[in-house]
Amino acid sequence: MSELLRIENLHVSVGEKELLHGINLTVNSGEVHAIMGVNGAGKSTLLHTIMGNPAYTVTEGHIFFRGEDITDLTTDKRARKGIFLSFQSPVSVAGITTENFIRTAKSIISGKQQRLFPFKRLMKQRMTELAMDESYAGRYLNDGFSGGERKKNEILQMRILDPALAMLDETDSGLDVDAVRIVADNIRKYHTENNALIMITHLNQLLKFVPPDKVHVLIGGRIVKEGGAELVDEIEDHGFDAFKSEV
Amino acid sequence: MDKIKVNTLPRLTYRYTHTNETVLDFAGSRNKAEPEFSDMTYVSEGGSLPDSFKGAAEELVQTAAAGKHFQINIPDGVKTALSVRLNLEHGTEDFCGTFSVSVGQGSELNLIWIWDGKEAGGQIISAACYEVQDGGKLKVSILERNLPGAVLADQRHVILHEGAVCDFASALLGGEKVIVHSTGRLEGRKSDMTETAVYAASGTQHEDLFYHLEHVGKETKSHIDVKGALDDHAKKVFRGTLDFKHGCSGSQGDEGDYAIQLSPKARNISLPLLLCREDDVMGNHASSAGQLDEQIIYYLMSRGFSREEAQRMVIESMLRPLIDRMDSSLQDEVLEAVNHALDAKESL
Amino acid sequence: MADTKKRSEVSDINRSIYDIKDEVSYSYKADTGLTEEIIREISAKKEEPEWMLKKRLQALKIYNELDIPPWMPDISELDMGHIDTYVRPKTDMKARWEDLPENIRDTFDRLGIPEAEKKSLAGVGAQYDSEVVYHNIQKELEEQGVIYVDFETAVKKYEHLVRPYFGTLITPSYHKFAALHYAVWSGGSFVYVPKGVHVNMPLQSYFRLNAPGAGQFEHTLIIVEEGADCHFIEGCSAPRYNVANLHAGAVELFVKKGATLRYSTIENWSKNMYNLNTKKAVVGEGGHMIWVSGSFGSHVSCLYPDTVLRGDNSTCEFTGITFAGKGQCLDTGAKVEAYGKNTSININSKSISKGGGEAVYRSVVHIGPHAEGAKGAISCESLMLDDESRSDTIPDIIIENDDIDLGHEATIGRIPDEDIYYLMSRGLSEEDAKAMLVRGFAEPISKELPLEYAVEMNRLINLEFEGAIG
Repeated sequence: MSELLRIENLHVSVGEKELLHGINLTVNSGEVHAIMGVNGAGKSTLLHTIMGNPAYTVTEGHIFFRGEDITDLTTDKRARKGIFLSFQSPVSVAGITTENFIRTAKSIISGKQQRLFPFKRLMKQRMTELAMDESYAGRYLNDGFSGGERKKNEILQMRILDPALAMLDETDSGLDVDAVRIVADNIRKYHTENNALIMITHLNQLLKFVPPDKVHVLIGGRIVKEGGAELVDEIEDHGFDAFKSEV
Repeated sequence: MDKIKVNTLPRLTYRYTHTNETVLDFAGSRNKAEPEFSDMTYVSEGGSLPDSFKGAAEELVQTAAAGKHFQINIPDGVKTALSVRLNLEHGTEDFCGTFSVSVGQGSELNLIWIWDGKEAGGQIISAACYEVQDGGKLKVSILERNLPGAVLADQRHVILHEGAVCDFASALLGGEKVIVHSTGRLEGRKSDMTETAVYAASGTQHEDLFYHLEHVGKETKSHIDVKGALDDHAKKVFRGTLDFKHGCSGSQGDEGDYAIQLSPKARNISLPLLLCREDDVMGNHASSAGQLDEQIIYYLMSRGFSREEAQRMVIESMLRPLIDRMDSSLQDEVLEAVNHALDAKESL
Repeated sequence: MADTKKRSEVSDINRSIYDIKDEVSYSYKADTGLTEEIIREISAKKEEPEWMLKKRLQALKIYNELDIPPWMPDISELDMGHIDTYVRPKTDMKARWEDLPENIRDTFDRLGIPEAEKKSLAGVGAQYDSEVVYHNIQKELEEQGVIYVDFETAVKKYEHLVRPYFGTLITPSYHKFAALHYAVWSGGSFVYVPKGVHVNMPLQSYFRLNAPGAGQFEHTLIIVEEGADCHFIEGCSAPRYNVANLHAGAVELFVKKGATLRYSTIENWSKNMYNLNTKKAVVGEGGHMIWVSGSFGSHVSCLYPDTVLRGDNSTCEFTGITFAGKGQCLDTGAKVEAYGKNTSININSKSISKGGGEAVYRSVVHIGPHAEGAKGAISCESLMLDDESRSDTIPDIIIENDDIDLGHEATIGRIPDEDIYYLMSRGLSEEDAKAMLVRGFAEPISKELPLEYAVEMNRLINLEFEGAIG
């Protein structure tokens, strides 16, 4: 098990407001991490900061990926190194078909020009596994997609781009029970000893199907508790209030 | 009678449509009526408009300037309300005059204009310059009603400094030739200007509405929303321009012009311009023109309302959000005036 | 996208090909400037009928009387006294490609025209300077009675068809440059589609301006008879020159009862061109007029295809994109006049400005007093790619009856940061992400274009973004 991601004393601000106050986190390959916490705790902020969203400013601390300091890298460079974020609300882009978009991204990230027909076959296979209608490949990226369809489209991209680190931001919200199961199956198919997952959820639906190795409880921009899968049940039973005293 | 050109577009377009400006017969005015102020604490007479004041037409600015000039100066940190009544009763045919309104830093002024009267064929030619200092708030509610056959010209220029908020809500429900000429300069960072207007024109009424809001400062906001109904031979011309100047990054503006046409003879002209010299902005325009939704009319009639009542309800529901923006003391009067204006429909 | 590179020959043309100047020797060249003598010379040289000369002289008179519209972009650099109005290459009409002079053929070869023809195009009328030098039409069209000839030939050979229509839709008094056009017109295409005939392949025409200081005033007249349909593609590209060039063509389209005409243009004049072009269509009962228009080139453009919906139940659809880069002012849009009942109007316009370029959307939608039941949707989106550029939207909507349903929407702004970030999170560089988003923005237009034009348009967009992936 080798170290993939290491975050040291990460402070993050938007404008003048600090949202994360010194986060430390290490993720090794082969691991599944869950970050739990109420809305507004800073979970999405953390994932977007790892992805390099220019809306967030790192005021202190560092992010290392495979030992390399990536704190100042632009988003595209991080993606090319194998970091992937499944967005909570993916944007829609009219005029670009889903297939064309993913094939372009795959060509860039793999460094290999994706040939049309082999790629079509791969795409078709992955879509079948996600129980997505094939017609979505030809439709514009997320344009007119329902919330659930957008989430599936994110997981489709994760499967095809096959990143070393996949971060899932509330992927289970907006999915019905069957869809959660399908998405969970796909996450399990993706996950190997050579990659890692960070999942954010406050519904825990997904965690039932993909049990985490490590759980981090994030409250008020700080990690207040860390542990194993047993924490999920503890939160399920008692909510987050129990941790507030630990802030 | 002279022919004058009013409300000329800030950026011209084709000539053959004759929509770059409106040509109006104008005979000049005699000045007899006096404004009635609800409170004279901050009001004084004297002074004049700045030379740079443009207005709807040179002739109309000169006519207004031939009357008295009043200053309304709200010092820093004061919160107050004031109403000004321009009433044309018998024998007082016209009002001409100019105003300077200044709202000090952090002050709030709730200003109400009522243009009213029974005098037929009179004129109100007004020109006003508004300036709102840092953090000041200006809310202006304007009700124009009655005044059959009158020429009504409301010409105004607004300058907003940092964080200043200015909100004009007009109900144009009187007069024959109704001219609004509003220019706004959103100079200070985070300044915010809103212009809303409702009208219900019938007979041969003509609404000529001009707005030109310039985004100069960063993160400024503008909003123009005009809604109304056109009946008989009424005509409406909307010339609205959102003008994003270079350097106004982070600014947003939207304008909307919605007209319901109740008569096959009504004319509805719309020129919603967006001028842009800055990329980090969001400008939107939406307009629509059409008849009342027959589905809704049918639904209301199935509940026992007559067609006319149903139409009234639909028009009122469209205008209501804009009427709600006006000072609460005026809202009932405005609704009444809307109904009165709709009653004024020519017998067919 | 990379796979598109192999899709068509046209896509392999690189920009430099558009900038190749030929050594052309001219067999005839009029004096610069515009006088009655020049007009008479042009007419005599063409051995025109008397009525055409009269039209020209009448137009010259109108030209001298009209002023330059005050709303137009700045064209003060344009000096009509120094613009050659008529340049004729040293070659006569040729029926076969092989017979063309080698240097002219070479240029067309590099523009991919024979390849395009090989791809089963219906006919090619390629205009070289002011004369049509090459014309071809497939036999099956001739058998259907479809006429597709250069305009000079049409005036002489099909006078009975041309004369009743010529100059009746766009009259010389429409505006100053329309008057100029009628005084000096030369070259162009004439298309006649008889009643009920379906032309199932697009007719293409390539225009090309050569020779420094040459103006181009081609006239296009298309008549689509009752129940017939036709797709005409107009493509323009011109080499770069230092002397201001002027293009004042005129396109008159007559769409009869139940007929359909689709008129596609991708315009890529060199960046010193003054493109003051006029296009107008009249649509009969139940007829359909479809415009697809891409404006990329020229220094200054004024182009507002005008559609008169005269017949009941007639429709008009306009899809246009304008890309104004450095040093360009592209003032484009559409005009629609509805007079028939139950007409339908659909306008979808997009513009992009970049590098200090200025894009203007200017339009008129006029619903006449008797045009009851008109329905319309107008959408206008402007994209600003930097803060040096300019973008203006100037719509004029005039409604004269109540039985209508018209919506108009316009937006202006830049590419949202979230969109760029999302694409970058999938590995695209910022420039690639922007190029892809702009291509997506342009997609509604490019999907309306034939493949090789769509590819060319995407290449033009990519060229604006350095290092962008194909």
